Amino acid sequence: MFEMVELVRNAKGGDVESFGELCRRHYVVMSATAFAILNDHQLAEDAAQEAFARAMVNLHKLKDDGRFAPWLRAICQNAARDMLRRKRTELNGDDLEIAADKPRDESDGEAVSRAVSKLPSNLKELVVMRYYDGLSYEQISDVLGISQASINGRLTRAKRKMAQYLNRCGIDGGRS
Amino acid sequence: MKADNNDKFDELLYGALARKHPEFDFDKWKKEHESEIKTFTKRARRADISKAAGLWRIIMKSRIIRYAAAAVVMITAIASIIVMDKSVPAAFGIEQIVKACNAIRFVHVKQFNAGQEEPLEYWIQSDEHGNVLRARYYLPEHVSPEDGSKLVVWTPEKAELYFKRKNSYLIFQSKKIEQMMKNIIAGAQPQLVMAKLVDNEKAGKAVIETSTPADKQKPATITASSAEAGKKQIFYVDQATNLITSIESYHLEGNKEVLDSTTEFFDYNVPIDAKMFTLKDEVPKGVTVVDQLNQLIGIPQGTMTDEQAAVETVRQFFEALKDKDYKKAGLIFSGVSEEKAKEYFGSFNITAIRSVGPATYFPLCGIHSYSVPCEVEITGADGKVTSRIFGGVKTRCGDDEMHPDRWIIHGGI
Repeated sequence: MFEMVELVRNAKGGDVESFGELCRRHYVVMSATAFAILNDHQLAEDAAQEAFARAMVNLHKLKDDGRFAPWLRAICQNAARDMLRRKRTELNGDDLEIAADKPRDESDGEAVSRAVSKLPSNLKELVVMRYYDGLSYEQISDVLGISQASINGRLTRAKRKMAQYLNRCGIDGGRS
Repeated sequence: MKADNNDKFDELLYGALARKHPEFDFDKWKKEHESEIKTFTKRARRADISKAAGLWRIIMKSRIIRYAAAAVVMITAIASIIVMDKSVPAAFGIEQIVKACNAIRFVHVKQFNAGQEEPLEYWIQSDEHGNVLRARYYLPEHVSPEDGSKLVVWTPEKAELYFKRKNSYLIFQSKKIEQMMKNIIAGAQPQLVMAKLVDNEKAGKAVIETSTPADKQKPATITASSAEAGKKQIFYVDQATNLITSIESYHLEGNKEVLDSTTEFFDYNVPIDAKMFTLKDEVPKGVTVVDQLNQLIGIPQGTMTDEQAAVETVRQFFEALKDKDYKKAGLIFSGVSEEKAKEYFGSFNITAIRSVGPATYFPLCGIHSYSVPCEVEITGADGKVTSRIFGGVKTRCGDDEMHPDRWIIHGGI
């Protein structure tokens, strides 16, 4: 914790490499944050990098150095939402299908993707963080600012919701 | 589909969401964001200059303050003498506590985290230099809900872990576990706690204030605050022994101090029974023993890619079951004993392997971790041949663990 705060302090002092280290440490979790909004790996990584650019020019506005991760997450969510707005100007067949909520002849994996997309945004973000690159409860806790026990509870709730949705769509254990 | 008991669910979620080790190339990013970097470095320079200039302007902008400036210098000098005078006994107090802590050989510690009833517990034996010789940890479920509660004993030579819920007993050693154990204990071993406090003060990371009540029955207190980290700790010290009795840790939410944990220290220098530092005789009968220390587990990676090694691991495991070679199967299956492997898999009469793979990235079990489907042919006692599909056998490479280049099956099949 002290080390992270030190990096933030150094970066605020103009040390570009410290800022780079902060970016490296937060890249996966920020990409996951953006993926929860964009549902596209490449765009999510672009959004994370855009968030770093915005964070760099606004770092002096960060008041509490100990809360760099949640601050960066908020910036990343905004960057991802901006990208989503741009993306929505180009509707394609898949988007229309999702909008119609009409399951086609889809694989279990696709059905699970759809179930994730149906989750409330806070649960969706948590599920994505957990399964994006196996982020630990500790890493997630640092960014979301909630306890590990809460993460566990919310993940269980999210899985139940997804299971209910999949069951409603006629996908059961037999199929998996 | 059930949400609990759900390796398959996990696998599908990984399949839908996982991104394999996304890496950030900062050098490339810098080239693409030159204008942001320029703004960033310019602002930092301006901030430095304006801090100094601003202070000068504040001091010198009015005549009254200009005259007052000389007085400020004098007052500061006097104040610093007073502060210096006060700080002597405070520093001396901390030195005494450090000295008392260095004489500790045994201690029992309980850490109560806010909102949790069950404490974390540590029993620590140290040498005369403050190095941890042996330690025992009880980590309740709330510390790591994924694993459930854990009993751990650790020495520099090995670690033993007992997972109560999984009824598994793991014996191993690795740099990772050594570091983890040290990190956990850093907040509980009085010597390390005091060393960190002194270091933080020296590095300017913490401001320390001491208070010594005249009533010697009441504890002295050391308050260490770090505004930057938004943290505060209060150390309560027995004035008779100079030993820490408890530590309260807070974080700041705005101006509010929120209690994170209370750590209490007991039984200073009361020898701890040697039996406390091994779990061998304590784990229940029938526990699954996974010994990764005293045997070479898994299969070597050699020149195979991760995906190939993952598939090969699963293939060799099922080949071993087909050959009724439970010793080999056990060694691949995380290092369980031959007896346990036979108990688990003896009822499968595998007569052929129909297909193995492909491997799917599955980072829940580590960064070199894969899920591999496998279809085998099983012949029943009546001679009837059936097919059995194992949807996703989890494999992983030891990575930085004891056998860094060896692949094992992780968890169940």
